[in-house]
Amino acid sequence: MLSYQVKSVYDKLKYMLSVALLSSCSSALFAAEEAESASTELPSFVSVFLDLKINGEMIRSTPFGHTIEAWSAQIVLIFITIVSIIFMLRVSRKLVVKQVPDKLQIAMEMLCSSIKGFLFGLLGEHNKKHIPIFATFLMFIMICNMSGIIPFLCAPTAKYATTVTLAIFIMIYYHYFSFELGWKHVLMHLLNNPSNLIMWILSPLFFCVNSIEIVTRPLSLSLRLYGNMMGKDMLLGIFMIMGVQVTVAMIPGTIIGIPLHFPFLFLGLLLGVIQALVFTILSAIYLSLWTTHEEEEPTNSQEQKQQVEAQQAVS
Amino acid sequence: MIDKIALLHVAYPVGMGLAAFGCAIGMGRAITSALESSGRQPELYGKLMLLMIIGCALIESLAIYTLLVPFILKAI
Repeated sequence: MLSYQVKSVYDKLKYMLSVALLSSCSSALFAAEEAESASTELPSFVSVFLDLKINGEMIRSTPFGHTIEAWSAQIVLIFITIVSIIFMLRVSRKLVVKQVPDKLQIAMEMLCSSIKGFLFGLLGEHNKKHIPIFATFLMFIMICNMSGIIPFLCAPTAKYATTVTLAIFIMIYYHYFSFELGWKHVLMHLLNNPSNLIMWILSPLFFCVNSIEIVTRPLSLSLRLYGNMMGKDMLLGIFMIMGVQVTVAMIPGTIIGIPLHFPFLFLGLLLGVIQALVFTILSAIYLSLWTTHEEEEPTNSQEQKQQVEAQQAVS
Repeated sequence: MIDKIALLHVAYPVGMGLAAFGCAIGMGRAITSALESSGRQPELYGKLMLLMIIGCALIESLAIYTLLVPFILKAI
């Protein structure tokens, strides 16, 4: 049932009820996991698989189960990637230009053109070749964060392994492209481009600060994303457990809880989108800081120049 | 004298509260300036909201570093 086909109040109530029931089912899963395992674990379809019993013991206690348990978030990540690849293949196969395109093509084209325009305004003309990778980061992190809200999936970015991988990747990426202009340019950038005597005296200070920033920038990127997503999961988890405790207090022995965590799902959605955006914007800004050419002016005045030229061409 | 674990159980929430205090002041100033500028020039609302959200996420990350300390130290 797609959201724009919901017409009557009864349909809307049914929709919300199904969402609430699905959330409460996932809340039961989380509460069960919390009770059994010592460490707080994000429940997903992998946890359901691990709770099955083979020959009278749970798969979780076998060595194979230990491996799967440690890699559960990455298995969900691979699943998310495969599903999105299949979706993108289906979108890109039946493209039409001369006939009327279908709704999926229109939606995807709107998405792609808006992301491309946004990143072009951020990166500038000479960094245009980096738009695809930042668009990939944006969509990947957004989909990963939103999977924390879907029942039976977990957000892989709520484990530090995923976010630190993304941050290290982007660090190697923009440091590789910072050497495009030569190692002398990188050295002068680390010393903040000294032009007169006072700046040459202060340049060792800048050198220390800038070289520490090489390490702390990816660290802050990864910790920000990890902290937001793990905090959201903790918040949701605590409210889920409270919901289960409420029904257990009233009717002993139930496994379905009241969805008390329902408002925080929307907070999680907002935070997921914002953190994906912030990660991409900060990485793009770091890249454009490291790859500025001295003879070119910064991006904003380039945009203004293009706008002025366009207006002059029209008039 | 004092149990070390008990001291940590007091110190982490106090530290988190201090971090949240500073972040709230900073974010209040940022959002105030964004709202005032939006009132002066309503056509720039989109750009201002984007910059405000980026600034707030950067400031909020400092409070989140404080939040993560107990989880990371518990693992070690």
